[in-house]
Amino acid sequence: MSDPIRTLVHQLSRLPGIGERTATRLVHHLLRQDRALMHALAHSLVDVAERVHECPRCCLLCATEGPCAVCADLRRDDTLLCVVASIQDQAAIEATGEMRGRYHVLHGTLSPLDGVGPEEIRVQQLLARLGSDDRAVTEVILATPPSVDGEATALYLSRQLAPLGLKVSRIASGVPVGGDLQLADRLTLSRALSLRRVL
Amino acid sequence: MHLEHLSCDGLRNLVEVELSPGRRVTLIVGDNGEGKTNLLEAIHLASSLRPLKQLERQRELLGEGRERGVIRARFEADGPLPVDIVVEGHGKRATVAGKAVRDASELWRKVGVVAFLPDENALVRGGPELRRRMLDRVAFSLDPGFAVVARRFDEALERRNALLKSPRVDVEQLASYDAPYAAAAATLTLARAAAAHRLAPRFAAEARAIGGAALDAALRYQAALDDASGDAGMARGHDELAALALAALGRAREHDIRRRTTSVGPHHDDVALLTDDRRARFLASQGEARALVLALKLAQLRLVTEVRGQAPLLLLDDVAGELDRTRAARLFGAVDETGAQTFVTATHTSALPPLHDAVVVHVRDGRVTPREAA
Ligand SMILES: [Zn+2]
Repeated sequence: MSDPIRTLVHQLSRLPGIGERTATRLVHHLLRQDRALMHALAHSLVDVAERVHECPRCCLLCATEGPCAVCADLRRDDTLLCVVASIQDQAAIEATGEMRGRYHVLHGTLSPLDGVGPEEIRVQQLLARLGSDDRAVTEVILATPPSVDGEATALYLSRQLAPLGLKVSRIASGVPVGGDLQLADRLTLSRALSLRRVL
Repeated sequence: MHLEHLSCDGLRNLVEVELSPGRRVTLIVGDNGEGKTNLLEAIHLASSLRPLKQLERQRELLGEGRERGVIRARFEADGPLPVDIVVEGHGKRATVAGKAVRDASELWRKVGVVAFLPDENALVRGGPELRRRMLDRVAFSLDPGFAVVARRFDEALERRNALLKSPRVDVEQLASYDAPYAAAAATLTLARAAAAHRLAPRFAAEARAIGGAALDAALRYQAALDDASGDAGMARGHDELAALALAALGRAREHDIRRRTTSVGPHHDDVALLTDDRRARFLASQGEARALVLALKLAQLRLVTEVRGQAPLLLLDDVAGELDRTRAARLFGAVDETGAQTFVTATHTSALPPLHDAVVVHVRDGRVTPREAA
């Protein structure tokens, strides 16, 4: 039989930013608390593992059956689609209140240094939805980060989207070069959205 | 701005060094291998957080059997500015005015240093890489934001080359990196052109000051993206340059895929150093090459001084070798004119022209002892 404490420490220490020492401290902290806390934590983990999935339409993470809340929202502008690299970037853009259309989450950017190509991010899903459920889209806004990889991803997508004859635009580079969408303040981000240029 | 006091222990062969340098010239005298250059190393680290030359391993900076080297420097730069550095086998820690610092740009704004080393004739006679690095340092000293520009280009180049090295090159992906690469290349080219434009006249003037009227020297940035660039700086704007780069990338694509590397871009720039309109690289004698290197250093020093309103430190290691007496005398005249606090190493004071107000220290077996003014 394996030692359950050591197994838990080992599993926790595989999380980013958590070394073995922090993991050990966390486990001993949990052991000193009411056991109900551990049961609740375990239950939450199982719940997330079983219920959270990528929205079949936009690839946002959601816990509802079928499409996510954004996709299900009838008041959204069906002609506008904003492509983002990550869930965090989607949240940052949503927080500006400027984006009334729908989203598509790539879950990454092209990244040659990590061997991440178009097959590893949700490019096929984007092309597929524009050809089926989302035929109403007239403008695709590429809101990938202003990093080299983010720029290249936007250009890659614009070439892939060209045959569809849509208006394809890129958010303005108001975001500092090499910067992070999540770190840009709301005003900068809304400016970047409103000053987007057609590719 | 000047260095008021430096204590150092455990760095290379230095032991319990206490140095109170002169406001103008400090002459560091000692036999070869006793630690003169190591003392310059300590001053260089204290004023830039960077070693005098590139290291293979950080450990090289430590004395034999030493676990750590300690440098404590006190600068006077609009008020006292203490800099403390601890060098260990795996890295170094530094505090400036009591605050931990991670990069050198803050210190660079306040202190700064220009160093001449005796093996730098390659700057004139060697390949273009050293000259590019020199120009980049000048660009950085004009605007520390240059670091971001250079990093952006390196990132783009690294990614493009990674795609070219993959077993099956995805041309669609490669093409997507062309535009960001071209934009970064254009920005870097313009920053280098601006730096060269400001450095060139100062280089010509310092070459005349050291070499006399007969040394008619010029510096010309040769941008790989645009061979039409010349003395007048970059005639083209950013977008025009980026478009040139993009077109060149397109033309070179097949070639780049075969060679698995990016052939177009500012990583192939050169800085031509010319004497009598011909390339010094192939023509200069050792003495002439040394005069040109020194002219480059003094030009950098002048430029930094103009930008910041105060001179950085100047370190001259074994500068007299291969310079004839006339040139050496002219050199120290030119150095004196810069007003920079200067540190000069030599095996004998007699190898140098008379230097007034010089503080002379002796280095022996890693220890420094003060001597009477010469
Ligand atoms: Zn959705």
